[in-house]
Amino acid sequence: MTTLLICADGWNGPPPDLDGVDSVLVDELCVGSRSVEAAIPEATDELAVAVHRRQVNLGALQAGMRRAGFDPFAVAVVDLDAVGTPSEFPVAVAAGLARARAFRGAAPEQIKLLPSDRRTRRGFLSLGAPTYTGAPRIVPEVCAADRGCDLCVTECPAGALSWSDGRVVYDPTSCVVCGICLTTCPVGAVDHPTASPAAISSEIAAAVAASETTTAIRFRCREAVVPAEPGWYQVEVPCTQMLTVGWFLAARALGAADVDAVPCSRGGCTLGGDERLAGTLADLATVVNAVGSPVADVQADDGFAAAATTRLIERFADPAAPGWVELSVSDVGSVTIDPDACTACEACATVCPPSALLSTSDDGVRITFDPRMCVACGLCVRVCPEVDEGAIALRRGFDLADRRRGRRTLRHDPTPRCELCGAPVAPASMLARISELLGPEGSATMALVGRRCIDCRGR
Amino acid sequence: MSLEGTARLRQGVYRLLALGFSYPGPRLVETAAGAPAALDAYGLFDFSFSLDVVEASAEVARSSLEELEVAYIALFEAGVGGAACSLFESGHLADPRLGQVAEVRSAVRRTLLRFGLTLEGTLPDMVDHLSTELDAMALLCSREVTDWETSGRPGRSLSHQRELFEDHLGRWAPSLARQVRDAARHPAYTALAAALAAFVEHERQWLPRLVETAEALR
Repeated sequence: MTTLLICADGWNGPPPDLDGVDSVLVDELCVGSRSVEAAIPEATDELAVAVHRRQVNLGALQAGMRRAGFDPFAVAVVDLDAVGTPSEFPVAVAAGLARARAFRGAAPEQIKLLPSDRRTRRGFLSLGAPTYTGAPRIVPEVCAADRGCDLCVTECPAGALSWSDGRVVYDPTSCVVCGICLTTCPVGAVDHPTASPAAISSEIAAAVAASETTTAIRFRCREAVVPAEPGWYQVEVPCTQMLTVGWFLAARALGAADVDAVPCSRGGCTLGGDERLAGTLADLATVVNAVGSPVADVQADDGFAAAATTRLIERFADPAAPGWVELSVSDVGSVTIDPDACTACEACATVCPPSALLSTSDDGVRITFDPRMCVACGLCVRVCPEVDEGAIALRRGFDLADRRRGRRTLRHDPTPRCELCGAPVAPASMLARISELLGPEGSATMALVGRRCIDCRGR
Repeated sequence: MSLEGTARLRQGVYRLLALGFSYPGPRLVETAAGAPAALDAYGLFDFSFSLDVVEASAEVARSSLEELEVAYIALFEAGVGGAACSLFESGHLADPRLGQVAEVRSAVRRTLLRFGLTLEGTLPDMVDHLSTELDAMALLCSREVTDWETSGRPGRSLSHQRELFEDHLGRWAPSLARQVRDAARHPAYTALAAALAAFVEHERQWLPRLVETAEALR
């Protein structure tokens, strides 16, 4: 049985009659933990609470949930102050329950103690119940750090991630739980217990499905207090700076009539500026203008999963879309290689986290590129030894017609064969580059290096 | 939730876990049966580890002593090529080929001696056993309770807790908990491992906050 506890403070009338939900009005739900346990019927196996976020003592509420035997992360929390009209209350309950049902558990290190705001002597001597939130975890089996990827490290605003010997090291003490690592990771290696793609997707899909009219989606961070607005359903994310164009597109594809996000400056953010979100929203406007309205549904958590933007643009494609669409911050791009400068060393393809760049060996080195997989991370440019010669370039943006061409060869360089064993020696352009660097004095060396593979040079 | 009460709660959880990872006896089952109610008096449910502690207590309490003994031996004492899981710090942090076992045990012993803690009787090999370190933390929490009662301040017992935790227990208990979780075939030990992992992770975050509080009170 699903039980919904509603804070009676400010509630007018009897408890609402919701399908499959037993609603109970509870006095002082927002301030007391004991009231939770006392109000829950014994047969309850699923719990939701409707409280005033601005007033609620979240630590006490979480303690009450635990006392009643419920993991707070698995309990749906509805913000009464964010519900625009009474008719939207069932929408908020359905969406909250859907999000809570998508919770798949948290490892101990994913339960983060939030800072206490008590600083007086009396406050120190009697602490309030601590408040917890979900924290990210890097899944090493999925992480591409062993190939050189360090995107989460460079994007983390708190310096909580570092790269060491092919793995990402997470410092939970420094982590501010902003979620940027979650949307930055191009391979989906970041597990977030309370803001997983599945949870967000389920919540939005349920909000849209439960609404009798159209529902727009407004993302806000966990700190922001945003006034309710009829027709807009608020989705809590760790921080709005984590949002990508792909997440907005995914919400649109799930049926949201409109999408936006509350900038940090409106919500009292402690992380600092909202430049990142502003850039994302500008790119979103550009994308929507360029490709039109969504034409395909996003299934399950697919839309919010890794590399969302580059995967979703295709689904929004309008056959009449224009050529190149330039973006400023978003995670979609296109790579070009100058064959006159590239030495076919394959560093770009080795490091590319989503394997948009791939290298294969046939009669030489072949580097291919699929723009539908590119997340514009720029790692390929960063590792290229000939980048100063203009060997590789990345443009942030897309061309739908070009993307429809799919994977294409950017570089093909023949590889001479070893005169003794027939194995590949090295790409011809790389040998030419080495020869150029060595100059005339290296001609004897090159005569050997260019004809024999590494195993046969000592014979 | 008073800080003295929090110290009593932590003392109780450390003691419960120390019993849980000692060779099972009637006291373990009795203590586990009454633990949630006893700890609730000190605010157990205010903390994220509470559900794991309740679950572990329930699993232990509903097990027979014989079952627990068999499971304990299988996990920590018997096994082809050695036990599945080592309950010793040196089993996790020391490389025996480099003679580090003695170093680790000696370091634990020195730390405990500095805090005025010695092992009773004839069990010197137990110095880096999990239950020894958990019991030592429980004793330090007990001193903290006394400090709060007598002087209204936590004194040095809190910094001692942090030192023992950060230099020893906190460095290896999580990996042991993972090992036990993966190897345990009895639900009591699966649940005890989950409780250990949850509590130790919470202590990693909570102890610095307590120390900060104590410093602010000076």
